[in-house]
Amino acid sequence: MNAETRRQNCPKCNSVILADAPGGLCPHCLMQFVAMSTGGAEFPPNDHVPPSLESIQAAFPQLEIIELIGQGGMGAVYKARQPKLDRIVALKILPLRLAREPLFADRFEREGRLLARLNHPNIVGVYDFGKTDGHYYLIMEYVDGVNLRQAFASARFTPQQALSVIPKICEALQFAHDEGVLHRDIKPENILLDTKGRVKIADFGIAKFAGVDDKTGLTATGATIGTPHYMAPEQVEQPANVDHRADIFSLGVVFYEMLTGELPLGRFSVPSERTKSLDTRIDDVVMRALEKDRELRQQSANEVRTQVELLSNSPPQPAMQSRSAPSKPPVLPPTIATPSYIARPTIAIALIAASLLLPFTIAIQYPGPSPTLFFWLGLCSAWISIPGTVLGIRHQVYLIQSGHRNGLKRSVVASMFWVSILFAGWIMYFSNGIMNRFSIRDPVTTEMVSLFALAAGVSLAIVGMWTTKKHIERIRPNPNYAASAVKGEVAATISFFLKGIALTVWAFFGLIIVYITPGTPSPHQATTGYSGTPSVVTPDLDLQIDSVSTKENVLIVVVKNGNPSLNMNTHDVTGTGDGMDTMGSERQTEVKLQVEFRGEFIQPEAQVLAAQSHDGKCLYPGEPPEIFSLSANATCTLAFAFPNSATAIACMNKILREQARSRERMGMGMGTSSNAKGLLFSINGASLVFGSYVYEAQFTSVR
Amino acid sequence: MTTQWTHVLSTRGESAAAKQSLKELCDRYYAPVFAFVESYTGHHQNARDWTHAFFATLLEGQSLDSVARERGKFRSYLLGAVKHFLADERAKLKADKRGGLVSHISMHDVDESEMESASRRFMPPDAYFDRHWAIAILKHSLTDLEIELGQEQAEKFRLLRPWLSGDAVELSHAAVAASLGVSTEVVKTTIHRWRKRFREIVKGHIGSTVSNANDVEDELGYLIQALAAKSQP
Repeated sequence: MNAETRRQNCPKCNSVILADAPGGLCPHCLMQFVAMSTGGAEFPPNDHVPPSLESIQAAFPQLEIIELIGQGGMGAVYKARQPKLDRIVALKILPLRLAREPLFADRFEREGRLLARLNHPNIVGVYDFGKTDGHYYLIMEYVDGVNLRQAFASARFTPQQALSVIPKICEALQFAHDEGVLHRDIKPENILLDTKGRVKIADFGIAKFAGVDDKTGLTATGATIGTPHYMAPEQVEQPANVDHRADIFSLGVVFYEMLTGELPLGRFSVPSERTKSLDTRIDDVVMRALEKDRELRQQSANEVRTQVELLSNSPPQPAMQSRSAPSKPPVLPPTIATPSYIARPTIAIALIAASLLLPFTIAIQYPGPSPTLFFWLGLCSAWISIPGTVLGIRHQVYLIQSGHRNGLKRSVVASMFWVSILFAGWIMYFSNGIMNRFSIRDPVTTEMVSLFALAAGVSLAIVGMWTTKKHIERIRPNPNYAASAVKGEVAATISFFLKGIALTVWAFFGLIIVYITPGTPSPHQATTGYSGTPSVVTPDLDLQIDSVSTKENVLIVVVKNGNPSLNMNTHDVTGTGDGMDTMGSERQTEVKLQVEFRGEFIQPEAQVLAAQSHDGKCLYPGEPPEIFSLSANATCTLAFAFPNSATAIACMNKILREQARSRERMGMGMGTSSNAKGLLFSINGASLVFGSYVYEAQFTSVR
Repeated sequence: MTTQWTHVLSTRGESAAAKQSLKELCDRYYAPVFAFVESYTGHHQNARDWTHAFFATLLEGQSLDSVARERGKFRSYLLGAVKHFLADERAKLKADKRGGLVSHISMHDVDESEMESASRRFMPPDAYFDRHWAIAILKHSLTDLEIELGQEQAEKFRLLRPWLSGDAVELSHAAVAASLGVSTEVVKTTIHRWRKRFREIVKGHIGSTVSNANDVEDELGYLIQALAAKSQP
């Protein structure tokens, strides 16, 4: 066997003869010739010799035949002049073997009319077609210039030249595809460059004249149509199913050849590896057009055009040059060049930092005790996730617009990650309020929220791995992808997995926070308000506090349905302590009521203004017991005066916290719903409020 | 018609002569089997070992019982047998917990120098096998013809060989006639004679792999298709 690599073409079918060809002959033609009968077909009329100028001139008296300008598998082309119109035209004579095929005349008529309709500046126009003297002919626009093949021969194309030619070809292809015409034989020979630098595609749909058998992909004479190197795989395997994407493949081959001067045969490397100065992003466009599976190619010529134009309009990224180790395998990014705004982490970090400022700015406006960590986590993560979400959506829009959908799925999954953070953040944020609204730390709600985040994290990890795995499976059999691309995919999987894990950890963290943080009201709760029924308690209020409410920070505490753990003691701050000297006016002013939860005074500075039990009995002032206990199911109303709002709020917080703790001890929110409305507060005579609402009252009426 | 293959079939490969026939057939179609194994498994390195092992197993006569039952073409039989063999190997490898006989892409040593074999990237292994099968037949036929013509006609054969696949523009009778120092008529006659002989040889080779003489034309048509499927990459 001949070991040298031959690049010889079979003179019969013009296909490349490979090194393994028997005797250096095209095996197909050889075998085909064997099958021919040994009769008269031994020396068939040679179709490859073009008719002489004289015979053509005789057949076309209306034309002045000037010269033979080209010849190929699809016939001979003559330069001719139409004297009447005084214009130069190209006369294409289709080969006789086609004419011998059954139904050729019908097909010729049909296709010819279709071609005549293709009127586009980048398509060689068809003026006329017909049959004369046994010759099927087409009269076409004459293009004064060279074809790409000849252009290749004279000089290598610069990437810029290639990038300027390809969009024109795409325009023409898109136009034809819209008209329902496939070229089927895109190759450098069919792409003409005229003297003014215009690009024209010739021989549109001529291949169709050869009439492919839908089953075998063969013409009646057993020849495949199209030019093998430029043919899409499906054009070879299932010619019946060829669509416009086959032209895109051929275009990809031409593109590759333009950039590298070589054909993408076997396991070919990416263009930028062959031509070092090349923008690596071109690789993606070319390699995608060359995808074996047409679903993975650009889905329209316009898509290729957009991508190419995008490349020529943006600064090049000759990443290959910056690579220090030349032995390293080329890294082919799995998606098209990531937009620079994604690639610049500094911008992303700046965005995140800026977004962090916002919740802090909000927080500054609320003095007093800071909201819980839980609340902060929710709000911050919600804000942090916004840039991620926005960037993700921009990336997807970019991918869709550029028609490069390869990374779309993964991008969407990545966005899902951010959106779920956003969602989880807001859930945490709101649930904090929701829990405060019911004044409970309901473990069920808490668990649900955190489990949601947990599930989101785990499913993200799984989905991320799954999509990436699919992606790898898809590209692995494709030798076009460098092995390192697979590695990149693996890295992407790991990154996804880590993100999922991070979210999971984050969820657990939220879960822990929920359990360890005592319930404190959030300022935002105020805006959502208490939608319950304040009227439940208003009728019970019968306190005489009007005289002080205007200038004091007064806290009214309504203890409803009793709280077994709440005890209140009166203390004599003057130190007399026995409490038996009753009704002394001097003493009475010095008595302060302190609220005690399990032995701890919650607010020593608080001055009791009034206390009244539900049954109407005035506890204070009046005949104050120095020590009193509320029995279960009792309701009383207390009014405290505080030196300032901060102490009032601290006191209230403490009461709420103690209540929440005691409730948790009582059985994690089970069977304690009646206690949910145990405390109601009001400050400075504002309407009865509940829970964190007191803050609002504080801010609005005291300041 | 008694061919090597029909002989193998009729004796169920049990006689010494049948074994010899089978061996000759196997020698002849080693290349397509190797091509198939390589394409099917994706292992360039191991394909040769597996192909060797396959033929060794086949020639030991272990699977000839099934041969007799099929009575089909040798090509189909060989392809079926090699698939079975690879399936068995895969099972064995799995049992050994050394990983299956699956297609791997080497992460590092992509063998660029590897022969640019016809469009493997477009072809399913079966089609690849068929293509190589057809090429093997053509190669053997060319060699046979060359041997038949003898050493003294070697140069003539080299020059006239291109005509075996038909006429082409590039082929000029006159030029060859001039370089051989004979008339164009002689050249044309020689070509005609050799073409005829070449056809006989090819058909003979095909005939030796089918069990029925009527199948030769079918098989020939099939092989043309196989080559057309990817006569070029």
